[in-house]
Parts: sequence; C-alpha cells; structure tokens
Amino acid sequence: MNVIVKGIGSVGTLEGALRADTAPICQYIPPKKLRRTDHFTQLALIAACYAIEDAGFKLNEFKGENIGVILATGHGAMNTTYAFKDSINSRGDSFSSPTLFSKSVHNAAMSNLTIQFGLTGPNLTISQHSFSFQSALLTACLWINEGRCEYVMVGGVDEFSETLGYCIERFNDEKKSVLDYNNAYTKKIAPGEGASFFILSKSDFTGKKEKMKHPGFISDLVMGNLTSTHLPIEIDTHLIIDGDSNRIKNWIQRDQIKNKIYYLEKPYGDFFANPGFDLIAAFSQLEAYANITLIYIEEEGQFFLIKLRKIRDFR
Amino acid sequence: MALTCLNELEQQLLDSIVEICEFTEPIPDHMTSDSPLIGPDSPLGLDSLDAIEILTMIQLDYDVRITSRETSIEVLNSLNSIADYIQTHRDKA
Repeated sequence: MNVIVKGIGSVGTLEGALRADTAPICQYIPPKKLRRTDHFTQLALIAACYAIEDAGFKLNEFKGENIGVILATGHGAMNTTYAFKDSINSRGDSFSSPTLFSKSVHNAAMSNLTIQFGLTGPNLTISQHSFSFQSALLTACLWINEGRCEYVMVGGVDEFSETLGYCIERFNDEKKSVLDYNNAYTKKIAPGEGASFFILSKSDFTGKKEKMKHPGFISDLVMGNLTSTHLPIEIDTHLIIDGDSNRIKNWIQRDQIKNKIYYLEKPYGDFFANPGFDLIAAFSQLEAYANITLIYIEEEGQFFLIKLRKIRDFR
Repeated sequence: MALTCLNELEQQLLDSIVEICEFTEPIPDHMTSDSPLIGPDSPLGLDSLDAIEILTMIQLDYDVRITSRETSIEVLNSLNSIADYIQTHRDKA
C-alpha cells in the first residue's frame, strides 16, 4: 500500500462548547463565495484549507485533474437536513426551501470544496455509518496505488445537531446523564463535531534524504470479518483502540493479543468522523513507536485495521 | 439594510430577499429599485436558485401566485417590478 501523508488539517469542537469555530474560513475564502455554504460545508472547507497549507501548497495552486477528493460523513449536514424538514412541516411540500434541499444532500460539501479550489479530478462522498472515514481512506489509497491521481485529499466531517443530542438523551438511557449542552467537557463522553483532512500521495517521495513533515506513512489497510478470522496483527506493532469499546477489548482477549495498547481519547466529543482524529493522534505517536495499528470493530464483527509505519521504514 | 430610494413595499421585499437568500454583506450603494435582481448584472449576485426562494416568499407572504415562467422572469426583473405585480394582483384578489 505505502501511501505518504503530505498534509494534515483539522478543526473540532472548542473546549466548553459543542460546536467548532468556522470563522477563520473567511481568511481563506471571500465571504461572498461562502453565501451558499452551511456550517457542515464550512467545517469541510476549513479543514481542507489547513491540510493544503500543511502540505506546503498555496491554495490557488492546489487544483487540477490529478487531485482526487473523498469526503466521509456518517450523518451529513444534519442541521440543514432538519431545517429542510422543518420547512416542509411549516410551509408544506410545495413551498419547501429549494436551497435548503440542495445544501442538505451529503455531497453538497464535496461540491463546494471542488468548485472553490478548482479540483477537477475524481471526487466521491462516502456515507457508511461509523466506518465512513475508514472506507474513504481505503478508497483514497486504492486511487493512489492505481495511479488514478497524484494526490488524494481525503477527509471526514460530521456536525453536532441539537436534534441528535436530544435523540441520544431521549433514547439512550446509558448516556442520559452524560449530556450537558453548556459544557461538553464536564463528563467523559459528549457529542461533538469536527472535520479532518489528509493529503495523500505516493509519487514524490524520493527516499532517505527527503525530510517529511509527518513522520509516518500508511503501510496497509485491512478489512475483514472477525467471525471467520483472527485480527491480522503483527507482534511488534503498537495498537491504538477505541477506549470505550468493550467489543474490541473482548476480541483482543479472544485472540490473546499481547501488544502494547494505547486507548484513544475523544478530545472533540463523540461523532462518526472521529477516526480522522484518531489517525492524527496515531501519527503523533509515531515519534515514539515504529509501528502502529488502529483497530475498529463493528457490532457485526466487521473489522478495519489502519497500519502505520515510521518513515525510515519506507520501501 | 435600508435604501432611501425604495418605497415601503420595496424595502420590505429587499429585507425578505436579504434574509432568505442569506445575503450577509452590506447592500451595494448603486442598488436601486430598478436594478436587475437575478443574474450576472444583479448587485446582489442572486441566481436562479434564489429566484425560486423569492417566488415562494412572494406566494407565502403576499398571497400572490406567479404562474408562468415568462411572467416570473418579467416579475423578478427588479424590486420595482415585484412590488408592482404584488400591488396589482393583491388588489384584484
């Protein structure tokens, strides 16, 4: 697989609040061009801008046919979707808002992103519940390995909605006591939101002499089902797992895995696009550990492993 | 966002349009009641999607229905033409 991460950008829930601050987007894109963008799209735009800058590109230079874009989202633009549904309820089918509808589709953020930057390569939005980001990352790496694009900008975005917060509070008794709208950080788990983007490439890494900004690369992505397979984990790898997932802990126990384990925190709250932030956390750990494997397991037993290696091992 | 050259109905319409089309910048100084509302020459930079929002707003807020495509292009030409159409057809109803 061997895919280099050239740039990383992220924006997430601010401490003491449930929403992220998207105001800095005006430093990158003129407000007039942002008229049709909702909060969800702005989250995607700002994280993408940060990633492009981090990769050492100027915003107006990062465009063209050889750049692919993949956006992952579990829920899409939830607030706009509910606003559109409200417009049907209050005004009837015939008078529901066309602009709210166009902004509510999951692909709206991707469209804005590609139009704003002039990205004319392949683009895709993936919505696959809690595995959205992982699927997007796998697709991005395949595109690069197939030579479909020189760079792929891949990211995960999910936003907080009070309706979702209410649903969690109303229907999930276990979490009923942990929601606090005034301070998301008073309890261990709270809903949140955020966007993270990565610029991936394969072609321009020339070897040992080149100084890479980020100390690692994606060496492999493995998807499978645990009902028939054991977790394919090397003995020397350092594992990063979701700290709250008993499911993962049970499977690790079943497979008698003795690797060093690092439990993930959720600094921006709990939302579907969180695996993007997990990947950022994993990259920061690569300074200390040569091999890292991120593990995700779904209820049906489907698993996804993201394997990272320190740059010195690049082949 | 008040323009001195507008009558009361035109000002009301402008306020509604600014709100539903999420126009956050100051209204350009050269905007008048006869300025093109939709299209590349519009001082507000509105497009066809905004036009549908404006048609919906006219029907909901003023109970005036614009039926044909040709009429809507004519009516949505400017704030002045919308105000005229509303006044004429509200009086008929």
